[in-house]
Amino acid sequence: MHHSYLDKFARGNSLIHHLDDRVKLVVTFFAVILIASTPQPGKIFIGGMAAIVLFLSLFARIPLGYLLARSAIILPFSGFAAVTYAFTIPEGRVLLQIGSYVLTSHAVEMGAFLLLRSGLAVCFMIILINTCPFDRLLSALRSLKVPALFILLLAFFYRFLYLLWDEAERMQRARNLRYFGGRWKQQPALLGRLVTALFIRSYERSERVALAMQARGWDGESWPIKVSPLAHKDILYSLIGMTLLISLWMLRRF
Amino acid sequence: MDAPPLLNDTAILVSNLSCDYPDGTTALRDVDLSIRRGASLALIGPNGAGKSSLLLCLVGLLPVRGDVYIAGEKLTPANAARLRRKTALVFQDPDDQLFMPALEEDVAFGPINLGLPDDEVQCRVERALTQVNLLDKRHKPPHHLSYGEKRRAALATALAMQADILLLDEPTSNLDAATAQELTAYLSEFPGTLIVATHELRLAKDLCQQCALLAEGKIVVSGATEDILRNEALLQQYRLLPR
Repeated sequence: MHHSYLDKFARGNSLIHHLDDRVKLVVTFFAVILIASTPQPGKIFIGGMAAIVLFLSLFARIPLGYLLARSAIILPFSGFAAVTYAFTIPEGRVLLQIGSYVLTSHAVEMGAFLLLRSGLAVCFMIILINTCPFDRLLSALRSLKVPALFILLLAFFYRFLYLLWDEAERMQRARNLRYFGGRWKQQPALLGRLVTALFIRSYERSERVALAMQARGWDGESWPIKVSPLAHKDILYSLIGMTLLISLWMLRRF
Repeated sequence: MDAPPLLNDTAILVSNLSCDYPDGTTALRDVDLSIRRGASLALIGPNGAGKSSLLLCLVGLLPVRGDVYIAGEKLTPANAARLRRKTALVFQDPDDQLFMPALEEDVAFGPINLGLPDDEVQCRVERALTQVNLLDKRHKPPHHLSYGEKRRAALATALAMQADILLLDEPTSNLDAATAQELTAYLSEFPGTLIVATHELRLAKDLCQQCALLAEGKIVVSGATEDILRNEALLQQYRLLPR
């Protein structure tokens, strides 16, 4: 995996990058919760949220193409959810009928909203991880009283995601080196064995990492995190952000 | 059984140590070893001899039969965590050692677990990263470092512990010649007790006065490094030199 696949712009130098990480975290989660809890948003809500995403992306110097490409990762999942959801809504003008399943104009609209909402939520998250390096994000979570064990799991996930991906790539490369086409029927079984081997390697590595942690005195307890006071600009950003988000939520029907 | 006599200047004393892997395979058999404070010992041996396992046993990370004394105190499961404060271990694979999202956090992990105040932790992080010439990369995630940098970073995590006893598992394997030489030069100035597991005879010669040859979990011979490395027949017998 390319090493800056997830957070290429995290060490940028914009005003948003320099804001307090806790403020960015809280405002982002607030935006995501508002988006998730508004099943039938109006045009103002969707347009307003999209405008905020656009503004943040430009202001933080995160290219729009990068943002859209990364957010497209969830399309297979949100697309599947949107299609299945659409077939459960019977209200509205019937556009398509397959057996007992009907697709109505209202269902299409709802499915589209679901796609847009999930896309916007993911865009907010991508902006967060591209304006806040992961280690600082974890410190922010810790200072917001998220349990240390959960933070440690997130830290491991981030650290070893790349490592496991690299390991999988190396195994794939080794397989390709001695695979000359044909015998395609055996490939699913081979893939299964590769995945099993990857799990075993991951398990063994986790044991070695646990030993390395114990060797440096880890006893399962949390460690202290420095909490610095918020600056004026941080308070101002959180006030503007929250006010804007609440205003959009109040106008969610229009 | 009576405890073996302990000398005041003994850093680590191992008596009748045996260790089995979970599948029942014997890793170490009846190992006896003594290392003076401030001395350096090379554990040499072919692949699979038990060198890495012995290092893990010495810091109480593997269950053992027999006795291990660190600075005169017998290592038990109850005091293993406390005695480990006197030791620092560098693993063979730096990807096992570096597990935090940023380099400086990884180096700070040990000092924080020692319960040191924030400013002392910061001081140790900066000193350790300066020593391995990685201070400018302190904010980088470990997966952004090259292999050689990861090896030096792993060493920094151990140096930040400021332990009396430093244990290193194959510290120069897979390093280019220049980096290996720099690392060896640096380690030769380490003021405490040094234990290096390696199958690179050059490293053993450059770094350690004492040497123990380990094969199939047993110490075959121990003594002055120069004497052991002079015995070519012995080294060939244990696959440390080509026949």
